[in-house]
Amino acid sequence: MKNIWKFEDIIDLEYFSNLDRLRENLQGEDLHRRDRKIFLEIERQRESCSTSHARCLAAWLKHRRLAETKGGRSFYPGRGLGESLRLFKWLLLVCGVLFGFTAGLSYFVYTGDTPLNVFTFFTIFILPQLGLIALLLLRGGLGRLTRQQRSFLQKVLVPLFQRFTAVLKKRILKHLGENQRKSVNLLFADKNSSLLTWPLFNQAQLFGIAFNLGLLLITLFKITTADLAFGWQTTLQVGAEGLSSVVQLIALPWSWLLPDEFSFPTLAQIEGSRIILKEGLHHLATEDLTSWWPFLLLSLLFYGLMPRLFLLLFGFLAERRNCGRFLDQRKFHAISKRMRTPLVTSQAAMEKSSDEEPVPTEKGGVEQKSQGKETAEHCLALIPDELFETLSDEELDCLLQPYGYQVRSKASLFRSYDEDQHLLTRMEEESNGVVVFIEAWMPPIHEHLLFLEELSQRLDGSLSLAICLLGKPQRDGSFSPLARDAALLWKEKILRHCDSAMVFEANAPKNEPEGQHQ
Amino acid sequence: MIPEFAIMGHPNEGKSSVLSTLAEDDSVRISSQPGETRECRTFPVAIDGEVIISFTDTPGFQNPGRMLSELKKYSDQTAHPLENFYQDFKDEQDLYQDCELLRPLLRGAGIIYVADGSRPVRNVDLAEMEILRLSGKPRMAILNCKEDDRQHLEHWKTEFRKHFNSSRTFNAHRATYRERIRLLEALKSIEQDWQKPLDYVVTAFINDWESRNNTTADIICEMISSCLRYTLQRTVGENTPLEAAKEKLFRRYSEDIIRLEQQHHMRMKKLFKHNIFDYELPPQSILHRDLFASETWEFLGLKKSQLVVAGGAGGAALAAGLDLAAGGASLGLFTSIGGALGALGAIYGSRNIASKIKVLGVDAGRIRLDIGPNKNSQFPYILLDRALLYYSHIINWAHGRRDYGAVTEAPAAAGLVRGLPAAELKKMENYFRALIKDGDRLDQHEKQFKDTVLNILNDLANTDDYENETLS
Repeated sequence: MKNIWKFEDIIDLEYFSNLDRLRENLQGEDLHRRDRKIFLEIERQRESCSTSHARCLAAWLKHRRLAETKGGRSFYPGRGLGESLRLFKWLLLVCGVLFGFTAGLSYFVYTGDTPLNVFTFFTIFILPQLGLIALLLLRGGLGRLTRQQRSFLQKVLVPLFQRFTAVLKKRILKHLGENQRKSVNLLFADKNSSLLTWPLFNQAQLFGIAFNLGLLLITLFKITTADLAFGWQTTLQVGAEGLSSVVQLIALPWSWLLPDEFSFPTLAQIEGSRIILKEGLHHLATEDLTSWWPFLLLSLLFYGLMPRLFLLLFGFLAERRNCGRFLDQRKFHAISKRMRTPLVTSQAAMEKSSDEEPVPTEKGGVEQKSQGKETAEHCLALIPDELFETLSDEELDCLLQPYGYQVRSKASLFRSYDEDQHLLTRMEEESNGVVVFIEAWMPPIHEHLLFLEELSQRLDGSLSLAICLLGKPQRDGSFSPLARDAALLWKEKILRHCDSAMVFEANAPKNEPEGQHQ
Repeated sequence: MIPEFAIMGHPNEGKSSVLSTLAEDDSVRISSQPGETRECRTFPVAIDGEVIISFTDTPGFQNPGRMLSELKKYSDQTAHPLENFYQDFKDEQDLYQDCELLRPLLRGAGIIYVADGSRPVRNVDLAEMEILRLSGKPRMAILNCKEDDRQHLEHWKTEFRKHFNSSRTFNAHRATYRERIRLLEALKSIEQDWQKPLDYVVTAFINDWESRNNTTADIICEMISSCLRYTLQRTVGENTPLEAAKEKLFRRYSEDIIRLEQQHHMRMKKLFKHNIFDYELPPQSILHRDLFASETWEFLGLKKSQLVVAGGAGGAALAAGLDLAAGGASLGLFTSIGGALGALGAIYGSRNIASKIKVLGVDAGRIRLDIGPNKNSQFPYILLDRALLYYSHIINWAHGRRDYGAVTEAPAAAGLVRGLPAAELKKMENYFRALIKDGDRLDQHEKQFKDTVLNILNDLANTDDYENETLS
């Protein structure tokens, strides 16, 4: 797509942008994904040598137009409006030519009685046109138009054009979906009418050009095919010299280019073409009466046609600039930003639902045993390696006494897998019960549970096995109370692996219910 | 080969939280129960559909001691102890999870080892670190402190230095966007060959974040525009009590504005990929107050002196109450509406105009009531402040965080706009005025406003509240 934006492209851009906003299922990442895909496609096809904002939008619009075409049917409001405007343009062109032609025809009626008055020609065909242009400039019209304010022209032409398109809009809307309808209505409700300022301004210039062309044609036609005589008359006491100066002034734009005899009538010719009704026409020389026509034609060309051509050119440039300014809107920048920003995803595929283990509860089916014992039972204390040095015998006794155990010997646990295995083999020689200290603030891992299971099997029920759950060691050497969830989890796991073991928590609160130990 | 990073560690150390935060995926199952992750789960980081790197969540080590023991035996015999271990034990049920966690390493993945730095180092941890060292893979350690206890950090750091190429702290519950970027940057140091794809990902992440901030600024512009310009009309019969009709219309208007604000906040939340983030704001947040609550108007928005500086309020505007243009209606009516609605009372208390209800004339026995657009000069600043606070909460809520009920951030004493320089406030004021008057150069003012908002958003995103330093 060429990087020349027309108002119709902007309207379509706006329409598709509104459509995206209205489609609730299309949000954030979906939009980013779609727009980024468009960008990557144009990069792949090397449609665009640069990724400027305007080029991105041009590609986006092209793809969106294609994507919205369903089964060969498409609806682009901008293009539709553009076509309406083109139709309007041809209408204006034909009207302009006809107006000019008929206006000229009615002026160039010469019966041989009185020559055609050049003042009338100027008054009807040149001065009003110059007046309109002067008015436009005087009002600062061009400057104001550039700043998007409503001009007189806009006030007149925009409602006119909207009426013209209203019928088309009505007919089209009933064939559209809800979102499309809403999006079109947003277009018309929006301030987009300023977008039409310059196209309509250009239409007005085209009408002016057509009018001048029609007038030129009929002038040339009449001059070629009819016997015309031009003269001038005035009640004021203006001499030919004065008029000659004015004529030379008027002819300045072309007099430097053409020979004098073609540029303007000479003083003698002006003098010779003065109409004084009481003296009649018979004394006027034909040569003087026909000397005016090149001047009139050139006046029409330079003061009627050419300003319109310049205004048209200006209008085209201003339209382009205006469209460029419309592209600078936040919503359009959001589109190009989406296109140019790589799409980053870091989410995993949906997780398979796995069989969750039941969360342990207080009533875990753990067999409860009585707490106290009449005489303290001697035991082997298996202590995690990390605590082996820090836990003194006194502290151990203090921890175990409430549960009827007295430490007779102790061994380090969980230093390494091989040492633990060796420890298990020694269990066959053990004659005392075993108390295993477990740092239950750590989550239970399979390795430790398997050890407990094997230990239980080795003791074979002949010797008692107790498991003391410890909280996290504190700076002062004490253990923090074990979190309820952690204790429950350990008890649950221990029950599965060695159901004969007695489990209790060190430093359990004194009022702890029976269920805290088995 | 696509660089892959396996997140490994002891059960319940926050591996899934780290990954959830890193990948901005709050669908990752995170549980307080250990051992929830039983299978490896890969999170591909794709840029424009092309996978550049990937992260794999792995189960926690279940038999580190045994694994190490076996691996040591293999390392005496073979150069690939992991492969041999996997082949020999993959069918053994007891070692299922340990074999599963080795799979990414066998594919050539690098290692991100996660440990809870707030607990003491144990032999099982050392065994795990030794296993990873024996793997010979590029590896990095992350300290994800689950509690505030810092007494064990030094020990962890010492062990990390022995076993890993690099290490960092990364709080999965509080990591911001910048910390994620820093972590990715740090990963470059563990393997030179992965520098390029990681550079690419970091650039894409930064661009993506910029784009999100840009979209957030757009959302804020849209929200302010739609709330400020919102109008409501109602036609009532000539015999309908006018005061009741006006009260009803105002109530509806307020509800609609609140709904509009919520819709835009939701869009922001979605943009930052918070899907199950239901607990939207800290309980003490000012944002829990209604848009029209008196606290909102007290703590957010501009001070009156700033309003005057911004040019938003002339004396007349400030002094005027709710202007009712009904024939015979007076401020007494306004007061009664204010009594009925606490919100309105708050607005009246702040001596601002909440809105105007106009009676547009009687036509064939029907009266048309009109409310809006809201010309209150404080209103857009309140909206903006609330949006910025909401944004701030959203971006600072890590995706790996699930403790919705335990938010402890201090509430903002005041909004953010009060701290802005007068020149910025002037730009904002120009935009708000252009919005209401539908004036010329709206696009230009909107652009300036958006740039100001974008700068604030970038500042908020780049604020480092949390310490995350390189350990070695």
